[in-house]
Amino acid sequence: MTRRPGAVVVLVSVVALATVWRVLPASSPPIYDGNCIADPYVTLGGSPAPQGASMHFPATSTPFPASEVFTGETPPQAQLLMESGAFDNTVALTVSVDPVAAPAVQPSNGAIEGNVYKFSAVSAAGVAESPRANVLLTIVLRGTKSVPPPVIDRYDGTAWTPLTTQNSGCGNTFLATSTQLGEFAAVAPGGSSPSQPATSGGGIPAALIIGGLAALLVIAIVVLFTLDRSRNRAR
Amino acid sequence: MPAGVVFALALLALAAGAGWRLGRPSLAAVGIGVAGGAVLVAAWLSSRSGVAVELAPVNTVIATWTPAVALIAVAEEVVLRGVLFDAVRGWGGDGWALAATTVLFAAVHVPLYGFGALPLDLAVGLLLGGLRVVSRGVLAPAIAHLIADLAGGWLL
Repeated sequence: MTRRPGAVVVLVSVVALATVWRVLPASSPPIYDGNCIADPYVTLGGSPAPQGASMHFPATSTPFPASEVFTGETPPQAQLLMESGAFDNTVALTVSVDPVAAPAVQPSNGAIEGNVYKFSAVSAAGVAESPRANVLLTIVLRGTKSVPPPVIDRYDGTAWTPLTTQNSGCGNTFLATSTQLGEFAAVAPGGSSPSQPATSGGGIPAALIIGGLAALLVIAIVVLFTLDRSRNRAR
Repeated sequence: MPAGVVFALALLALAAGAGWRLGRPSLAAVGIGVAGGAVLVAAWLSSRSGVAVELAPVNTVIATWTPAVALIAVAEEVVLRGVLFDAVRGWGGDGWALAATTVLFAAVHVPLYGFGALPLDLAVGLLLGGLRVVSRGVLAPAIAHLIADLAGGWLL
């Protein structure tokens, strides 16, 4: 095979790749192969206990820095990603992520899988602080499985609200954005709530995608063999 | 993570034992590899919506993750698109080599990501195999693979 058929293969694969990414089920890996080495999920009440995390931000006149607070497991079971300016940092602030007991109220869109994590920001005076208006915080949680993909829900003290969730990678990790702190959990779908957000992709059965890709692969290989044979005959 | 590094070293030892030797790198292969990696990352980014892409904060986790992932990506390419591709090509030509490495690449990722990842990994395997044919070496697919995998950790 010369470079020209190779280039055809590359072009075919780029088309296949673009197509697959468009229709990929939400449970698919976020990118190709991040060498996921994930410890077993640690549940609250078990041994070892799940870890919490906190970070102190002193009062300064400069904007709140882009930061990440994450628990100590591999990969972290809970992470909070904050963009620059997420909080007013004219007062000292401690941002924490802690596993907490699940509230009595259950989400309507499924069952909580894993731990409930409380994401909070508290000033030195002990006052709960909220992020600035219109700032998106990124909540990253590990679930216990990827299929079916869980949805991250936020609990505001009275009810759970499902958030648009996407796969974030290694170890059944999922992310969602929120303008507020609070308690968050990965929720395995199973309820009949109509408020469950749509996840990206979905809709086309994986078997159909696999079949289409396999057909594409067969066609590409047949073309390559034909080109090879005709070239050998010409020699 | 240490298990991944041991796995990668075992793959490289297997390749060396099979007589595989690093070829002479060319600038063209580097360029083809970088372009392939850019395509892989761009395809991923184009599928994302609603969440801004940011660079991961530098911490000890990513500092240890990065070299381990780099080693594993290169080791996979050396074995798949190096040793195996050469062996199958010698037996049945580039077409069979491409088919075998593409299917095997997709298959080895099933235990980690499940069957849902099979379409994606078939397409990626085909692209990396195509880069192997175009560049006539393992450097281009190794670079593309490396870029795609590292993007998974460095881009949030």
